[in-house]
Amino acid sequence: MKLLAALLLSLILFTWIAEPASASSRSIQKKVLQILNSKARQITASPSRLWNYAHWSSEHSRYEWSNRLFIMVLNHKNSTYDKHEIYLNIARNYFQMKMFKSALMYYNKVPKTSELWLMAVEERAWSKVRLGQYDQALADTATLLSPVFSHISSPETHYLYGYINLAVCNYKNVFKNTELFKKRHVARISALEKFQSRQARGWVQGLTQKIAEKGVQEGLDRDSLALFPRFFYKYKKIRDLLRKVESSKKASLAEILQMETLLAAYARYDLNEYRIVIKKLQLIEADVIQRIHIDETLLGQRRWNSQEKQVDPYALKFPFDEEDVWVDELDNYDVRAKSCPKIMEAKL
Amino acid sequence: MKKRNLLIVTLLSVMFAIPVFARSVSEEMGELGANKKLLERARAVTAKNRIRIVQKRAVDRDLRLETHLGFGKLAGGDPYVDSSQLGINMDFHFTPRWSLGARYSLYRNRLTSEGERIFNDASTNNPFRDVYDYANSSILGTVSWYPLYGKVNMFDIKVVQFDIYTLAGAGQIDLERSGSQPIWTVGGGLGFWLNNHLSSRFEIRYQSYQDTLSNNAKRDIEQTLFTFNIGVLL
Repeated sequence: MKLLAALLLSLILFTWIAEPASASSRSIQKKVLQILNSKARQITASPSRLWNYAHWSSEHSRYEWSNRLFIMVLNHKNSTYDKHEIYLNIARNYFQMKMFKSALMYYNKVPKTSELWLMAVEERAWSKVRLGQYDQALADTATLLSPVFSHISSPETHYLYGYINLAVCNYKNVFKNTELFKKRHVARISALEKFQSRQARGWVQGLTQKIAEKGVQEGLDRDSLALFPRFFYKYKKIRDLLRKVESSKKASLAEILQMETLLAAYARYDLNEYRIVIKKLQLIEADVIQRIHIDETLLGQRRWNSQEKQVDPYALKFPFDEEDVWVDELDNYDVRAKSCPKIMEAKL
Repeated sequence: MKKRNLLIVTLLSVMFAIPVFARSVSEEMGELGANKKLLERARAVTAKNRIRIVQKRAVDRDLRLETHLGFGKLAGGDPYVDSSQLGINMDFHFTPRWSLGARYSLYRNRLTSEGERIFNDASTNNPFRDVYDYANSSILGTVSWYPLYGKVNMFDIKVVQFDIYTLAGAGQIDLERSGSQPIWTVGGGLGFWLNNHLSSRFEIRYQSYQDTLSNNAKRDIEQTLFTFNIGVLL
């Protein structure tokens, strides 16, 4: 009886909390439609409002509305939003709408000079996978897995690479990818576990000292980026703390403890991401077990996955060496992969 | 009541026990690629995929005019004359592989140490300076072919692309005594495309022409010219 009463109370509470949310949702929807249907030449809404509505629309699966709002932010004369971030958001909306070619168009608009470029390359590769363009997706993964970006690349890149190699039945590279994943991320995972269990105070103190001496820009060097939670410096609370340390030229114990607490939370998030990627890689390995038997009985019967791409006859062509990467070569890879072996039809 | 309490206690115990038995991410990662036999079988199945780098030329040389100023040193030819030259050159690039050019050079000549010694020993009845038929200027038309390319890391500042080229040409050379004589040349060089408007070249050319000796006999002159040019791509 008491249990039933507790359940009923929870239900009433839940309904009460949910009701105001759906009312506010309806009111936002009304405002969004008002803006989208407005025939006025000048948009009266501020860029920040349009930005928030665009994200709200995207979160509520109204991707077309979201894109139109992002375009309004882009064209707004008072907009201070990074246009590359807008392109990325529009591309993501198109991806959700399964309009992968349009998504690719917007991903390609993010230039190499943008800090969002690497993210755009990764998401672009997924669009190419969905379009069945495995060769081009592999070319993108060659950029993502380049040693140049080893300290900032996402673990999901390894899943992407493993997935594509499984799709084209290149099993050797599936395992090569696993080895590379372990080599590149084992130190980071171990460091994140220390952050999570709050055993990394020495590193936090080291970082604050560097920031106090050299400032945020120079203090965030490759060493910090390699072991700390990914993009930790982009979180507002950490950013504010780092700026405070930079201006005061020292970090108090309270600030260090606060940073430790925040980093523990971000480390937990990163470790969950790693856990998911590891499970996905294990699934890929399990799939390899099934497929490899078929491949062994169909030796040599592979075809090229796609037609040879026509390249400019005057373009420069160099052999690929994964150990010796030149910065100007990034994003200029050309891959031709062979498809999975197929059973040849018998001819009489 | 007792059963319900037991159920709640069991549920709570399980909830608190799960973290104790949860494996760390490091442990989970250790299981990846642990199947060595599978690894060997995977390595035996070769996919023979191809990966290469294909990149656009940093400097577009389709239908572009390049003018370059060069300084060169000549070796060979008359043993008593030391010549250097200053050149104003032009190359019109049809494609990154072919260009048509013109080279105008002004020569600066002086006697070598051996030549000076002979000049000082010469009698007044045999004025020395009329003996030598040195070059004043030359003008050549050339065709260049750029079959090889590469790139170089310039002191970690920039990656610069270059082309190795061969050239051949012919023209006229203006000699002090003989006047205008035909000249032909063949050679090669290294062209660095520093940016969209700046280039530099290191060139080695062999050139040959005929001059006239004091007894009016014709003589074959064969020279090697080493030049360094700085150019502008228009």
